[in-house]
Amino acid sequence: MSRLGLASFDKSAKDAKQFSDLSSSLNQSRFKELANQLEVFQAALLQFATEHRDEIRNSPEFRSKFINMCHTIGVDPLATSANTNQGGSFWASLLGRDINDYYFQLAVKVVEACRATKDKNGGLMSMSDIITYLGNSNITESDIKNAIDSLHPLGGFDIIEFGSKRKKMVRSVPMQLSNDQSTLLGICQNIGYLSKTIISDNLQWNNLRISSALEDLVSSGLVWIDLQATEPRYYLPMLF
Amino acid sequence: MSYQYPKAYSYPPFFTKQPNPQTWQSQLQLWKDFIIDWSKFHRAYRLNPTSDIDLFHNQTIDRRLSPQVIDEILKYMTDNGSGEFDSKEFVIYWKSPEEWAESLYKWIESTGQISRVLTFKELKNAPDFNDIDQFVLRKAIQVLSKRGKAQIMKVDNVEAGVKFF
Repeated sequence: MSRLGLASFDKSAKDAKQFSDLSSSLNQSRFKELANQLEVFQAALLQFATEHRDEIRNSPEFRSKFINMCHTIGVDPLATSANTNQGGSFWASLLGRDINDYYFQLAVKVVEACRATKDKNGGLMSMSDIITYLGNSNITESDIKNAIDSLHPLGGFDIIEFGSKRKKMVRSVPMQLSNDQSTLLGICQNIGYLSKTIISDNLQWNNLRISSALEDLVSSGLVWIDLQATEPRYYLPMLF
Repeated sequence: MSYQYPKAYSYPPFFTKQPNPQTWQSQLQLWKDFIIDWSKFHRAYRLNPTSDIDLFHNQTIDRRLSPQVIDEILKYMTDNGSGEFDSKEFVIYWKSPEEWAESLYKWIESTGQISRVLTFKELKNAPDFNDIDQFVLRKAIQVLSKRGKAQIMKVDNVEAGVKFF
């Protein structure tokens, strides 16, 4: 029924108010819905993680896929505190708090050690140097290995071995060591330094191969060059 | 007690400029720290870059810095306020002019000599100032006069002393 006269003005004002009420209630319900969805999603994620706890813990591949998934949808598993009754982070509550906290903390220190010395050693630091740097003789190489493993889902750090002594080195910058480079670093660890004569006495390499491998090592900062001997010598970086 | 050289001092490549720029940067930093530490221990205010001193020459391993590399290191130190050239000699700030100024002014205050005029010679009575280099002392006074806390007094156009405020 349409109103006539002055009353019609009242109606249009009333209509406008009704529309705005409706829109705000729609907004509200949409917001509630979204919050609900988020809650459900978080619960599902937690459920999923709890169900697959063992796989996350034991299978690095599964773990990294899980982490990748979390990153894709914008959830940081290290920061999420979903499990309030334990008070710890989502991730820590999954993997058992105490032991992993220790390794997480150690991992942070290892990362700091690698960062602080990166410019001097090209991003390759021996485990023994890391232990010396941390100044704590209670830390073993296998602790460092566990700490580095706990960083694995995040990428960027890993452990490589070379030389006849199989000395373990922590690599903190993305780089690919060629076979030649690893071989040379191995010899360098055994003898103390490298020179073209030493290399050609030990390996049947031609001159070009030797120079290019050495040049790569120098330019990436993995060895330091000494130009004051009878021929150039190449040294592993030291812990200054 | 004799000077304890850093580990780097017996590392032969330390005396060769490293081609990798990042490595070179950290090498410069190591040299700067070493030079400051060495000068502080020996209370050396000045270096003659061309003279053959142990600082730049490790005779045990027969390695030395080339004059070009020494120049680069001293330039780096100048840029970051750890020293500067006074004609041919390099003055090392193992204490910065600001630090020298600070302790000088503290001494002036605590001995009630504010608004007195002191001769340059008298200033050497300040603790730790007995052997101070004239160039460094002047730098410290400049710092204070910029802050309006000191003024160099002249008699017959010759600098005679310093008045503190």
